[in-house]
Amino acid sequence: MKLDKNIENNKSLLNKELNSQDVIYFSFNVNGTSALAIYLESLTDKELLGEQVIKPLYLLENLSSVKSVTKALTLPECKELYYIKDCTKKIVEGDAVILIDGFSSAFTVATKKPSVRAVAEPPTASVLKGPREGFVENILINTSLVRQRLKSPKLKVEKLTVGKQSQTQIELVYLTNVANDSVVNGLREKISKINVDGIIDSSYVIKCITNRKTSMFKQVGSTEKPDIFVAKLLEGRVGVLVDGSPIALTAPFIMLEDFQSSEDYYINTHRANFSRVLRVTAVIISVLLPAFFVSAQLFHLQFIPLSFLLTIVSSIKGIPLSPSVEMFVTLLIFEILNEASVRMPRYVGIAMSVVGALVLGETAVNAGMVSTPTIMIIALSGICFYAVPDLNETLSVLRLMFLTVAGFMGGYGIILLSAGLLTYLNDFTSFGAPYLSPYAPLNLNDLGDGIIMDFYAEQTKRPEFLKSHNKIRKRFYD
Amino acid sequence: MTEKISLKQLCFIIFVTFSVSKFYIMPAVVAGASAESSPLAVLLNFIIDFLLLIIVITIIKRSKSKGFYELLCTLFGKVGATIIYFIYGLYFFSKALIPILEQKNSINLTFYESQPTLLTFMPFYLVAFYIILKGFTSFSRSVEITFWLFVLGLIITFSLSIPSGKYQRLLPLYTTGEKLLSGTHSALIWFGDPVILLFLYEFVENKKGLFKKTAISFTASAVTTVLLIVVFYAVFGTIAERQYFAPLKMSKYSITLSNIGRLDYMGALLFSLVSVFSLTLPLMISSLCFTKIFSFKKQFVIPLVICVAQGVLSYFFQNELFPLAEFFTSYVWVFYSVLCYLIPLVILIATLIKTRPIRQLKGA
Repeated sequence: MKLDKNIENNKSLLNKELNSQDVIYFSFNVNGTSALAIYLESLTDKELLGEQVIKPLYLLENLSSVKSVTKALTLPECKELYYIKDCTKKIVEGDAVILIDGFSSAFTVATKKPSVRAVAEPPTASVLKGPREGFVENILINTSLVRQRLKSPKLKVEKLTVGKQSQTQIELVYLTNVANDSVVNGLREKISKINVDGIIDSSYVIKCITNRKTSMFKQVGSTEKPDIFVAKLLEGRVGVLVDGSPIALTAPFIMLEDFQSSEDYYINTHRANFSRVLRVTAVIISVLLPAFFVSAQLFHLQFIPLSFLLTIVSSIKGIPLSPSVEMFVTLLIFEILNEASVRMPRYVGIAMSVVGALVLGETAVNAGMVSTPTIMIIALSGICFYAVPDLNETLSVLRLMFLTVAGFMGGYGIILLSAGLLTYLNDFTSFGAPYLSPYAPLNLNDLGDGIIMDFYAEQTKRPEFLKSHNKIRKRFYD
Repeated sequence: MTEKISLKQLCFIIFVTFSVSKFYIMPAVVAGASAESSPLAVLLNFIIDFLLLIIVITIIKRSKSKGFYELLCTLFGKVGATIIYFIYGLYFFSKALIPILEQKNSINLTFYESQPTLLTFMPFYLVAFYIILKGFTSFSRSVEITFWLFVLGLIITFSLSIPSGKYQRLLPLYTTGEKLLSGTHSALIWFGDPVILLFLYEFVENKKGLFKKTAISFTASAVTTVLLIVVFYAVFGTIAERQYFAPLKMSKYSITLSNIGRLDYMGALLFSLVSVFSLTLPLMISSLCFTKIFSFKKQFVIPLVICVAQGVLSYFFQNELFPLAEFFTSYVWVFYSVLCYLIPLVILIATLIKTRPIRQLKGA
C-alpha cells in the first residue's frame, strides 16, 4: 500500500501493521508542518536520532520536498520510501522513519544501534600464538573484522535476506579474482532458496544448504575467528556471515580442515606437523581403541602382548559383564558425564568431575563392576576426542558404531565398517570438492597443506580442488 | 553423476587389486606344483599377462568408441556385444568366488578361532553391495587411500619375514620345464586381470600415457608378487605347499618384534581391508556387464542379485575352498583362458581390421 499525503492516515496504517508497545511515535514540527518519527525503542539510537535528525529538521526553513529535507541532514544513509511495507521493514530493522504531513513519501535514516558483545577470544578456538579476535553476533562488526584484514577492492560482500519472520541478513563474502564462480553461484542460489520462518544461527544455514542433510559429517566449514576466515577466503573459498551468529561459514569444505589449526601457520612448521600427526593419531585412538580392545578380548586374544594380556586377565577376573557390554556401559556413563558437565553451572561442574571421575570410577572398579583397563581406555579415548574439537559430534557416533560392530563381529567387523566408511566419504563432495582431498583424489600440490605441511614459503599455489581463478598465491621473486 | 577415474587411480587399482588377490593360497598352490621354481612360474604368468596388457591397451588406443560395449557393437553388432557382455558378466562373477573363499578362510584362520565365521563374513556382501552402488569414482578414490595401507602392510610383512628366509632353498631356481609350466598352469586362474581394463577404460578421463603408466604399475604389482613368492618359499621351503594364506604365515616367525605383540597381525588386518576392495572389483564389473544387458528402473537390483547370489555360493562352498580351487585349476582354467586371452586377441584383430586405413584406388 502506498503512503498517503495525510500524516494521520499514515500513522494509523503503520500502527495497524506494527501493533507493538515498543514502537515509538514521536511528533514534532518541521517549519510549522507536523511530522512524525517512528522507531523501535529497543533498537534505535535515540541520541543520534535527536541530534542528527530531529534537531536539524526543527531548524529547517525550506520544506519543498522530502528530498530537500534529506539534504539538510548530516547522516549519510537516508532513503526515500513510498510504501507502508518498506516503512515497516525499516522500522523493525531498527532504523527510524520520518513522515511529514502533506507528502506522500517518507524517509528513513540509519539509526539502528543493536546491543553488541565486545570482540573477544572465542572459547572454542583459543591459541597461544596468533590473533585473538573472534567474531561476534553483529554482522556489521564481523564484516569490519574481515575488511580490516583484507583491504582488497576485490573483496565482495553480497547481502541476502533470509527468513520469512526473522528477516536475517546474510552476507556472501568472497574475493572476486580468486573464488570459483560455480561455488559462489551455487551458494547464492542455495541461500536464496532457503524458505524458513527464521534463521537463528548460522547452523540453520548449514542445514539448509548441504546436499546430504542426514549426514553426520560436516559439509560446510565453520570458524569463530576472522583470521581463519580471511585465510580461507584467500585460498579461494567463499564465506558466509549470518547476522546474530558468531560462527562464520566457509565452502567448499574438506575433512582435512578439521585437522588444521590456525596456530599451525603461526608456529614453527616442524612443531605444526607434529601437532597435526598427533591430532590424526588422537582421532584414530579415540574412535578405534575401545573397539579394538573389545574385539581383542572377545575374539583375538593373540593380538595382545603376553605381559599385557596377563595384566588384563587379572583385572577382568570376576567382572560380571561381557567385555563389549562393560565397554558400552562405561562409554555411556562417560557420555552422560560429558553431556551433564557441558550444561551445568561451572561451580557444580568441578564437583561433578570429582564425583564422576574419582568417586564413580574408583568405586566401580573396587566394586568389581568394571575393570581398570576399560576405565583407562575410555579415559584415553575421551581425552583424544578433544584433540580435534570440531570433529566431536561425528567421532562420538563413530566410536559407538565401531564399538557395536566390534562387539558382534570382532576385527573383521571393524575392517568392513572402515571400508564402508571410506566408500561413503569418497562418495562425498562439498560444492564440487572431494571430501577426502588431497588424498583421494591424490593431488601432490595440495599435499603441501596436508597432514605433513610444507614450509610457508613453499606453499606457492592455491589448493587445486577449489578450482580457483588464480592458482598462484605467492610470487616471492617477482 | 558421470563416473570418472583418473589414470593415476587406474594405476593404483592395477597395483593394489592385481597384487593382493594373489597373496592368499596361490603361493602355496604354485609351490606345490613348481617347488623352488615357483618364482619363475609366477613370473611367466606375469609375462603372459603383460602381453595381454599390450593387447588390451592396443584395443583401447585403436578403438574410437566411447566404451568397450560400444566397440563390441561396432565389431559384432548389438546381439554379439550383448552375448559377449553376458559371458564376461558370468566370468567375473565366477572369478570372484575363489578369492572370496580365500579371504573368508584366511579371516577364519587369523582372526577367529572358535566363532562361526560365516556369519561374521556375510556382512562383506553388504559392504560390497554398497561399494558397487556408489560406483567407480568412489571405488577408485578408496583404492587410492588403501594403496598406502597396502604398502604399509607389505612393509610389515616383508620386514618381518625377509630375515627368517633361507634363500638357498630357492636353488636351483630352474629345474625342469615341466615343473615350471605346471606351476604356471596351476596359477592361471588367479591371472588374466588386465582384461578388466577393457571394462574400465570408458571411465578413464585422460588417457595420455596410458600404456606407459599402466605398464609401470603392472610391473610393480608383478615385482611385489614375485618377491612375496620368493620370501614365502625361502621361509617354508618344501613345506610351503601346505602353508596357505602366505602373508599371515610367513611373518609370524619373526622374533625381533615379538616383545611388543603380534605385529604381523597388523599386516594381516591391512591386507584384509585392501582385500575388501579387491574382492569387490570383479563383482562390480560383473554388475556393470549385466547392467548393460538388463535395464532395471531401480539401480540397486543387479548389484543386489549379484551380492546375494555370491553370498549363497560362498555359503554352500564355505568348506570347499581347496577342492574348488583344484577344480578350477584342473578344468575351469580353459574357459578362463579363452575369455582372458583368446577373446581379447580376437577383438584386437577385429579392431585392427575395422580401423585399418583404407587406401584409395588409383584413378578413383
